Amino acid sequence: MWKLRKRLLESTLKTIGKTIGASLLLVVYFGSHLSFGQSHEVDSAAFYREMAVQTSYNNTDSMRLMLAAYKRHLNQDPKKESDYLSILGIYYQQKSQYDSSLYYQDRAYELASQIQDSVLLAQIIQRKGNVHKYLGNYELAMELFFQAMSIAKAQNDTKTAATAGMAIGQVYGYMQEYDKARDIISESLEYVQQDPDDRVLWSLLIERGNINTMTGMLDAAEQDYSQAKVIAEKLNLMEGRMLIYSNLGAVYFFRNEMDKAIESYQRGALLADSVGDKISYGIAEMNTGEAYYTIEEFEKAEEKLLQSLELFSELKSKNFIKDNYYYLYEMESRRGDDKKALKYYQLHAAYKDSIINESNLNKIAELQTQYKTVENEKLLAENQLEIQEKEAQIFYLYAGFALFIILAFAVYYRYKANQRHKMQLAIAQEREQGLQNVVMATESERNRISKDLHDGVGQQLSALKLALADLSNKVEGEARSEVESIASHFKQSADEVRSISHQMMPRALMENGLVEAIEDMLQQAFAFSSISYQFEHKNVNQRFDEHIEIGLYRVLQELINNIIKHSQASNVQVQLYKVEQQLMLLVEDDGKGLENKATKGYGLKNIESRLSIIHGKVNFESAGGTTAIISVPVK
Amino acid sequence: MKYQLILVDDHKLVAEGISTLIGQLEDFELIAQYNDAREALNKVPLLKPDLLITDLDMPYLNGLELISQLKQDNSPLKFVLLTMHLDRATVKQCMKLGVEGYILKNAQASEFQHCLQTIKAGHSYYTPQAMQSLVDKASEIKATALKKTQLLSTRELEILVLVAKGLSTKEISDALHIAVRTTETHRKAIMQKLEVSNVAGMVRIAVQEGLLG
Repeated sequence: MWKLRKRLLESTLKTIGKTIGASLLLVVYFGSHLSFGQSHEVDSAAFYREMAVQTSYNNTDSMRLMLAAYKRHLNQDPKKESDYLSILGIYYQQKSQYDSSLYYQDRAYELASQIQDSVLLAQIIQRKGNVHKYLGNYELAMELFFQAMSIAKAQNDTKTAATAGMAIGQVYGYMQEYDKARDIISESLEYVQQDPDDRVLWSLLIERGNINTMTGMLDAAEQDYSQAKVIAEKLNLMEGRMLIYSNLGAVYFFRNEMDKAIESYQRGALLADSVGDKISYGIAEMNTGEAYYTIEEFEKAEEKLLQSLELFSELKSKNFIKDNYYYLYEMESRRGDDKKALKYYQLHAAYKDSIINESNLNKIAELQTQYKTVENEKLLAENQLEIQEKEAQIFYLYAGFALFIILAFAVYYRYKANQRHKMQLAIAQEREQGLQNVVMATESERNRISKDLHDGVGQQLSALKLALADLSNKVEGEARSEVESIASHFKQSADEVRSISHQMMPRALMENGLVEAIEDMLQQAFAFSSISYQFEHKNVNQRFDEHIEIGLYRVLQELINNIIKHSQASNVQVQLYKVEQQLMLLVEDDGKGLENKATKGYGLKNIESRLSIIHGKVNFESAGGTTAIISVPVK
Repeated sequence: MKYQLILVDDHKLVAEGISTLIGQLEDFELIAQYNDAREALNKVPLLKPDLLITDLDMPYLNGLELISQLKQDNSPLKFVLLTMHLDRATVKQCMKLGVEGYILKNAQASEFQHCLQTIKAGHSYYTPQAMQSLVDKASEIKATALKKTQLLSTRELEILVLVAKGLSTKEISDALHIAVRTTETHRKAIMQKLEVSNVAGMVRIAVQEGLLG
């Protein structure tokens, strides 16, 4: 999950240009919806309005011109005036002048409420919410989106409702409330499907796909993207299709289906190439390279990554060059060429530094030009107010930078923590594997020794005893009693060997399962003690995995040994039962309890390591005696 | 006519000891001795002895397999298992197969003689240790209808199930967001209502009354 989020973040950064494209489409759609809703006759106001909206995202200067033209055709119609002010608000939002944007949205809102046009009101509230979203006022933004949604619903304006729903989903996504985000977007999808409008549907699907990817629900994400792909193809949305191929590729990548990922990236590349979108083409190639080195096809990976690097260098897009070097670094370090890896890493770092410095300067220069332009245009009567606004802008900008740097650090530390976590996991796995090997080796060695003892020494002792008994019949007097005494010693030795061999690997466990083996063990363990016992079981007449049977048997052996040696108990109750997918072993004695920690030491460690191998756990409770409850997951 | 015996044991030293022992008995005669159970399987039907004495652990074919293959309805052939093992499962299996004798390899010569004579007389002989091991203390917990647990409150039932699932008092408290003390009080109340004095008793009733599915 860590890796996934981090990677997703990277890919989101890479495709940021495209995602903006996607959200633009939505607003473009909005404009068209409004104008269609107004009238069927060709209306210059509607025309200019439409043009203003269309140009709003790639060319704010043209937008300004179109807005001026729209303004001349308002004919003092309050509805149009309100709409004009609201779009002017979008203009300022696009120019990142959020205070002005809010100012115009508020004025639009006033007018719309005077004429009680609820459809318009919902749209204005929605746009206001957008501004607050950009400002990071998520709570306020959410309130506005919900308000917009409920008004739009009441007006049967499903498109605005769905758009508001999507915006809510996005904010939930920023707040990492992915479940809520998914729910609201799914709900919005239901509205639009009642009144299908492909572009809204498309955006919603992409959004839900992203959330599904974020939360690791890759199958669902694939479904969303595939559905969106069909729409993009129907509407011939080039950019939309490229975005989908890139996102689908990421889904396959996370699912470790590299062949599919590469295929998807390559289709995106082909598409980008055919429309001459070099950046997208480069990104697709870079992603392909990453997929190749993930499956250790280093030669192909290198080819792709060097190709994309050349392209990015041609385009002088430092951001991508920086990312490209990072991938080259990762590829070389996986391939084991540390020298090259280091070189690429240094290049990556150098680009990163230069980008940060450059973007600082750029932003400041941009701000200065903004000052001048605005002054010349004399849009706002009061200079004082304007300067305050600009100062606010600078403040936001720096705040934004600070946020960015904090975010970058957060990402870096998450990455580091992730690496550390992976390392610890690997060590723990290694340890468990090692432990398991040792235990299994011990068991098989015990089994072997047990057999050797039983079949070899044990039988020979018995045979010798028989021979001695025979001999004793042939001799007389003192010699006879001596031979008989030797024979009885042989019998003792044979008994001892038999019991040791049995303890080492009980035949009953191998052949008849836990219930028989436990009963055998208890009978023999308590045969010569004053401790009484009960053994009860339920639902355990089947055979379990050999590791589990042996593990539990040994744990019980250890517990019983402890009870006999230390507890001074007079009664022991053992229960073996199955609850759902858990095999439970309960051992309770009425002894003196666990107060003596020293006696727990080695035996307890032994029990815990035995259990850790079979993923079991033990709880000890001491209240007038000791209760050990052991649970082991079984299939 | 003497009672005719065949001995099967892969362990030569043991086989020799036993055959010496039989040689000293008046009424018995060892007519063949095999170290390989497969050979015995082929020859026994031809030789038609009165009694087959066999070891349990042998390569290729173990003693119980050998017995079950030779055992036929209405056949007068009788069997003694001669073994080092004393586990319940083996003893039970012998009884199930209708094996007439069960004796340990380290038995005294006198016991061995007694065993053979008992069988010759038409009875069975199982060594006392083997009989002892059959005393069955393991018992399956039998399901009963809901009765005692009906006295418990919902919360107490919840706690009872968690106890049976192996959670400690602390873990139960965390899971239910209650204080450890509260859990302890509940546990005491459960034991009182179920009239038991320990965890084993609580769990037994939970299992009996089907609370654990």
